[in-house]
This record gives sequence, structure tokens and C-alpha cells, in this order.
Amino acid sequence: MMSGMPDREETIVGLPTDDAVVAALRAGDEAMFAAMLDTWSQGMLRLARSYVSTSDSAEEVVQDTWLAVIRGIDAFEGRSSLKTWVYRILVNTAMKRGARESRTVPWSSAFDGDGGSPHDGARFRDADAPFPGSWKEVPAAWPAPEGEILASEVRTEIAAALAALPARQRTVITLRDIEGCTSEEVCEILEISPANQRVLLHRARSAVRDRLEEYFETARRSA
Amino acid sequence: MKRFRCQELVELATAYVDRELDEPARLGFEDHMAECLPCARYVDQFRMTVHALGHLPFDEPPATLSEHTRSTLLAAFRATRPKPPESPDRDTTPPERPATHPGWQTTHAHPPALHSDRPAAQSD
Ligand SMILES: [Zn+2]
Repeated sequence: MMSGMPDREETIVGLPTDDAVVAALRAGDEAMFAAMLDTWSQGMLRLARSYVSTSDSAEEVVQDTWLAVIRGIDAFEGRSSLKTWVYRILVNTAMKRGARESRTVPWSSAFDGDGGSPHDGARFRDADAPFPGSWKEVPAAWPAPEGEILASEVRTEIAAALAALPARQRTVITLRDIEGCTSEEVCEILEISPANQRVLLHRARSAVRDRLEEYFETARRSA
Repeated sequence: MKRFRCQELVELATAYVDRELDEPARLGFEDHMAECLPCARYVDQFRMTVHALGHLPFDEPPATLSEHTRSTLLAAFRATRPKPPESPDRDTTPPERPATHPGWQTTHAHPPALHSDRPAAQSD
């Protein structure tokens, strides 16, 4: 229906309530299915891309997810939101694919690979020093204008920081801060506790912030 | 009101910016920031980072599904869910609503539930 429109991604198409969407899909309403595809696929591709090594693989993961949705929509009971249900299928499909590509470790191995707290020790005074737990050095100020942080070099740094994250941190920060999910939704999609969700998100955000700090530091020294 | 060391405060930055701290902790957090430039600066940078993540433009491919995948999926939908012949033709344009967030805009017909659906595709 909207194919051929060059600005398909810019077209903001809202969907009606879950109940209406599910009823339409079950009744074979292709226009509704197309609207879902066009509204959700971009975010799904971004999330899938964090599990697999190529964009082609990510597209296959999203395709397999939609095929499972077509087949499984009769089993949807409405106890979570439709999007949470679709995203959970996506995450499971992507993890299987990612495991085949050895890109990710199984989610069930929990926090083994996620390293320690990003701010352990290093930046803060030791327990036996004066003012224990306070900063050794004041963090340097960043360039002031808000626009600066969206400059293309900065975006490149952010993308690199995201790519370097352990898979679970990358998934959580992608869902929360890029896709705009609530913490409740992320816990449902990934089947993790609120505490685990917060730890993963905090480590991921800290890593991205630290990357930007290094970037601005380097930029200042070479200026 | 709780008192924090800088190191503790930094560990709570996510809980603070997401407004997940309880009242005594939040007051202690803000009281510390008011007196501590390094922490105030850190939290400000943390907020900028989160803001930047939410406003990343995604102009790199793949922006969306390829036409090939899209038509494959529409064909699969037609094959799996044939439209009953008696239903009248519908307007093919879905209703438009303003979106608050580009990625996450469906109306939630149900409150978050404790026991959520198992996806049918999750066989192992
Ligand atoms: Zn401090």
C-alpha cells in the first residue's frame, strides 16, 4: 500500500489498540499487517542487529519473527502488550541466530560476561585515604551546546560504544534508551528482574558516557 | 535524608535520572549534587548521554525491511490468513494518530501483567 513512497520511514503511522489490531490480523486484514510491518520493523531491525553479525542476518531474524507472528497470533492472549509479545519472539529468534553465529553467549548464563561495575576503584579515593569514595579528579566539562553532542563524530562514538557492549547490556540500552521502552516492558521482553534490568542499563549508559568523555578529552588535547 | 559518597552517587545515576529513587534517597542525592561539582557534572553528562541515545538519527542502512522481504511477508500473510470473502473491502489507510515516541507507540489495551504470554514461536 505504501510501497514506492520514498519517505516511508518518515511516515508516522499510529496503530489502533492491541485488541483492534489482533482482531484485524485474525480476520486476515492485510492492510493492518502492512501497517504493523511499516511501523515496527525499523526498531526490530536495530534490536536484531545487536545480536547478529550482518544486516542480512538481522533482516532474516525480523522476517522469521513476523512469520511466527502470522502463525501464532491466534495464541496471543493479551496478557502482555502485543508489542512486548512480538519483541519477545524477536529476542528469542535473534538469540538462537546469534548463538549459531557465536556472537552472543546464552542469556541464561546471566551476568558472567558483563564485567564489574564501570566505576570500581579507579576514579575514587580508597577507603583509607582522606575523603574515601570521593573523586580523585574532577570530570572535565563537555562542550556546552546541546547540539554538539549530536554532531556526527559524536554519533560515531556512541555507535562504537554500543557495538562494544556485552550483548545483554546492548539489548537493554537499545530497548530502553533508543526504542523508548519502559523498564517494565524490558523486564517482560527479556524475562529479567527489575534489579537486573537496572544494573545492565546503568553499566551500558556508564560505558557510553565514558566513551564520550574519552572522545571529548582527546578532542580537547588535540585542539 | 540519606547521605552519599561520590562513588555511591555515581552508581545510582541511572536510578536517579529514571526517577526510581525513593524520596529520602532522591533528597540526599540532590543535596550532594548541590555541594559537589564533580558529581553534578557527572550526572549532567550522564543525562546528556541518555538524551543523545534517544535522539540518534538512523540514516545508515538498513533503515527498514527490503521491498523483497516486505512483499514476501505480505504474501505469507495472505497465504496463512486468507480474508473471508464476505467481508467488505476496507480502507487501506490505517488511522493516523500522533506518535509520542517513534519506536513505541501502540496503545496498551492491557495493564502490565505479572504472568505474560508465551510466544508461540518459543519452542525451546
Ligand atoms: Zn560527589
